[in-house]
Parts: sequence; structure tokens; C-alpha cells
Amino acid sequence: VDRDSHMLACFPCAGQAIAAAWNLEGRAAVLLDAYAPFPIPALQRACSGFDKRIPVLAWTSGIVAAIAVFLLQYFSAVDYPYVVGGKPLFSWPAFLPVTVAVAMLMAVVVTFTTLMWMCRLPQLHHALFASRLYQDCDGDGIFLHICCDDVNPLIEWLRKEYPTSKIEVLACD
Amino acid sequence: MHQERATWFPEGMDEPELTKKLCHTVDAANGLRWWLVAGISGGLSLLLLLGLAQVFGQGVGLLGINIPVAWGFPIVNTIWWIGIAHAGTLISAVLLLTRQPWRAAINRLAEAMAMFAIICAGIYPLLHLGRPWLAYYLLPYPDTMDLWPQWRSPLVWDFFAILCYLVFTSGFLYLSLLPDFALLRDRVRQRWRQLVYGVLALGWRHSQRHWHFYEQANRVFVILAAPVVVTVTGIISMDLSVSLVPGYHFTIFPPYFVAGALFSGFATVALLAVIIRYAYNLQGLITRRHLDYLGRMMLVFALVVDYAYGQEIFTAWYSAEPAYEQVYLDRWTGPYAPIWWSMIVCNVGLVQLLWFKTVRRSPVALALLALTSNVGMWLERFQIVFTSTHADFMPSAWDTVWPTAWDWMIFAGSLGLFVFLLLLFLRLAPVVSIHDMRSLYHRSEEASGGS
Repeated sequence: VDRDSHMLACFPCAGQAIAAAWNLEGRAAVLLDAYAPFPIPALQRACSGFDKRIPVLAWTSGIVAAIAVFLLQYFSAVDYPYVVGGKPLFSWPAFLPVTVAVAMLMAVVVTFTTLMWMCRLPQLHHALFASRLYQDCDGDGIFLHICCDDVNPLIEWLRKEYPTSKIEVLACD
Repeated sequence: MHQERATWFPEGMDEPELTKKLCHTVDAANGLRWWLVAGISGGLSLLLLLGLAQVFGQGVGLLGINIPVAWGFPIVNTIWWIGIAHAGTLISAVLLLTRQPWRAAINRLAEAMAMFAIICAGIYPLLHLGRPWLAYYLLPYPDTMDLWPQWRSPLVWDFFAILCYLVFTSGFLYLSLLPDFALLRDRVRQRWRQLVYGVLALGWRHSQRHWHFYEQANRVFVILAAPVVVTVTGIISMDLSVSLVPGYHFTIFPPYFVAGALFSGFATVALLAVIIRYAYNLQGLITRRHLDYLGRMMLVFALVVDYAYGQEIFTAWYSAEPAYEQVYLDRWTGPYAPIWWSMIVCNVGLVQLLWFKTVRRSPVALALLALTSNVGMWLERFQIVFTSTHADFMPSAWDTVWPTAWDWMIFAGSLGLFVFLLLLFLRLAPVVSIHDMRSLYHRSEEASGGS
């Protein structure tokens, strides 16, 4: 985003934050992110596109793990020929429980690690945590992180349209 | 007052008050009752450690594991604990998939219960191995002996099933806790607590981008939950049903075990919900309506379990196999008959009281029935493992075996460990998911046109 000034606007309820986010258009401002202690679909749509990487990677990794562990069982059963109750070395029905369990295990691990990667976590320090406005809200407010050319007209507009909102101009390094 | 909000939240409670109330479960100082229960359960946990040390030092002979009941007490307890764990996961996941609003107040409790129950369940197979320090033999790794796991063995299936379930439950619980840890980080005042919650929250900042990915990951988890639960319980039941032992060798076992697991799990959630709502004064959030729904679920799965009992008896009779018929006659009239009949009283008789709405909505009655149901399910696991093997095909090997004092000590220890871990969890994290409740509040406000 090629703009100079950043500001944080805090709203007491989701409705106001959603309306402000959608009305930013045409005001030479960009919504960089929105912060709320619970998911708000309208704000998600306003600040991010739809990304399907987590489910795609999860299912793909599950299938790959299933194939890999099934092949591992096949080769190790043949490599170490141990006959049990006259069953064939390639006893494929008996290989299914481990195949399914490992597939799901891998899908779970990949889902969690992909989530961390997509959210860029762990990230114990973030500029947001230094904001006085964020610190004072005790996790109760709904915040819009806005980037714009000139904060003054935007602040004026926000104060007029949403008088209960609180605003902090963020220092940009 | 809008109807949707009035259903799930006390009248007049706004969002900040809701958050404050839920955070209070963590912020409040430990009362005398907490210390008392923590002392008793901590003492029992120490007893578990003592028992484990003795058994590892002297051998599994202390446990009374012997032919013909080679699986004995440890496997009874494993199956029982795993059953409890599974329902926790399934309750949370299925209720989310089916968008049930009453999930928000109890999902954290169910997930935490699942986590600690699977820890208790995992202790026993290691114990039962006899030489737990060789447990890594179950892993498929290229060793110098060119030795691979025996893939046809249910013991190997168990290892992967329990590992899968442990990882799943940990991930699912932690995912749910992440936003609440972040909220607590932002609210607590003591520096050390800010640091602890700051590290636990991993830098989560409630960004809607985070929430977008969070919801995707959560959806994958809940879609995986049902197959994980069914597969893991199914694998545990196949430990028994793939053998030829009469009393074990039933094709009905996988669905029967899943239903039994859900029955005991719903019962445990109901019991914990009654205790927690009383202990933390959460009657306005975990309402009688929640208890009613939990009671209904208990009844549904109890009926499935009862059907499975009937089906087992029918199969034993219809197969015309003398060994199968003998197992049933022995269950009814043999040395373990009191166990069987007590199980019937708990799981078939008493549970019918749940047909009555007044019983389901009464915290005391529901808690008592949850307790008897859990006892009944434990007795069921006991009679499956003991009565099926103590008198099978070879009369020369028949014997009547009972658990030893060490068995009982370790079982009591695992109960203590479960309670102790739950108490520690209550000090660390909100027992009701804050972000789920706030989300429900927000949705109910939206549904009623906002206010």
C-alpha cells in the first residue's frame, strides 16, 4: 500500500465498524485490517479475499500420507515376512486402520501448521500491541486499521458519522 | 428483549458484562473448595505415579494380568476413558457442523474433558506393554534388526489410533483456546500473567484475516472429527472383535462401541456441566435447556447401546454356537453376574428416567443419572473384557480373575489425574469459550435486527 498515514479507529459495536469499513471507498483510504474478538464475516469480506489453501493442503496431505503409509506397510510386510494365522503377507484389509489413522493425523498437523503460517504466527510482538487505544479497550472494541494519504479529513468524517468512535493516529516507521 | 438472545443469555446481560463474567472464572481467586478438590485429586495423582513406578519397577504381574484374562483391568480402563474422550470431540464438532447455538456454552468443557480423558486412556496401554521403554518398537523405523511393526496386530493399530486422536484433540482444543488466551493477555493486569498469556496466544491479535483462516482450519477440524472419532473407537473395538474369542467376535462392535463412547461422554459432559455451572455461578449461561439437551443425547445413545445388548444376545442365541451361548449364560449366572446385572440396571433401567423432561432439567437428577451411566459404562467395559475371556473355548484354562489392589490404586489415580488436570485448566483458561459466546451474542443481535 503506497500511502503515508496509518490510523486506528475503535467502534463500540460491529454494525458501526462494518458501515465505516464499507463507506471508506472514495475517501482516498484503504482498510488494511480489522480487529474484533470474534469473527465478523462482513469485515472479513471487506479486508481479505477468499483463500482456500488450508482445506486444499489439508486434504492433499491426508491423501499423500495415506498412500505413503499404505506403501510402507506393503513393503515392510513383504520385507519382513512374518506369517500370522496363514494370512498373506499383503493383508490389505489389515493395513487400512493405520492408513486411515495416519491420513487423518497428517491432515490435522498440516491444517494447524498451515494456519500458523498463513497468520504469520507465532509473532509475539506487533505494532498493534503498542497502540494506546488498543491497550485501553481490554479486548472489547472493534478496530479498523486504515491507511490514507491525509488523516485529517478522514478523522473529521469519522467523528461526524460515528461520534462514539475513538481514533488514534499511528506512528509510521 | 429479543427472543434469540433471551434463549441463551440472562436478561439484561450486555456484551462487556458477558465477557467479564466469563473471564471471572480465570480471574477469581481459588476458593477453599478448589484447594480441597485439588488436594484430593493431586494426592490421587501422586498415588498414580507411585503405582506406575511400582509396576514399571516390578512388572505387570502386580496388576493381576494373567491368562486367561490377559488384557485385564488396564484395557477396561483404556476403553472407558477413550469413550469419554470421544464424545467430547464429537459433541463440539457435530454441534458446530450442525450450527447448534447451544454448543457455545459447553464446547470448551467437552474439548477439555476429551483432552484429559485421552491422557488418562493413553497411560494404560503403555502400562500393559510390560516393558514401556520399548514402546518405540511400535514405530515403523528402519532399525539394524531389519524389524518392522506387525501391521496386522491391533496393538499397532491402537498405537496409531491413539496417537492420531491425541494430536487431533490437542490441536482442536488449542485452536479454540488461542483467541481466548489473546483476550486474557489484553485484559489481565499482572505482568507475569500478561507474559504467560502472551506466549500462549502466540501473537494472536483478533485480526479478521486471522479469523478467516481460523474458521477454515476449524472447519477442517470439525469435518475430520467425526471420522477420527468413529475410526479410533472402531479400531479400539476391533482389538476385540478381530479375535475369535466368544464374547469378542461380533461384527456389531464398532458401532456399538461408538454409541457406548458417546453415551458415556455425554454423561460426563452433563456431570461436569452441572458441577461447573454451580461452582462458577454460570446458571445463566449453562442453562437448564443445555442440561435438557444433554439428557436427550444421553437417552438417544443409551437406547442405541441397549439395542446393541439385545443384538449381542440375539446373535449368541441365533448362531447356535455352544461357546457363545455359554458366554451369555455365564454373564447372567456366573461369578461376574453381579457386574452384568448392575450394568443393566444403570444402562437400561435407570437411564429410562431421562424420558421425563423434569428429570432432564433437574441438575441433581441429571448429575446422578450421569454418574450411574458412567458407572454402567465402566461395568460394561469390565464385563466385556473379563467375562469373554475368563471361560472361553478351553475349559482347562478357565479361571476367575479379579483386579488387584494395584489395579484399583492406578484406576483411582487416573480419576484423580483427570480431575486435577481439569482444575488446573480451569485456572488457566475460561471454562466457557468467550469468543464462541460473544459470536453467538453478536449473531443473536443481528438476527433480532441489532440493538
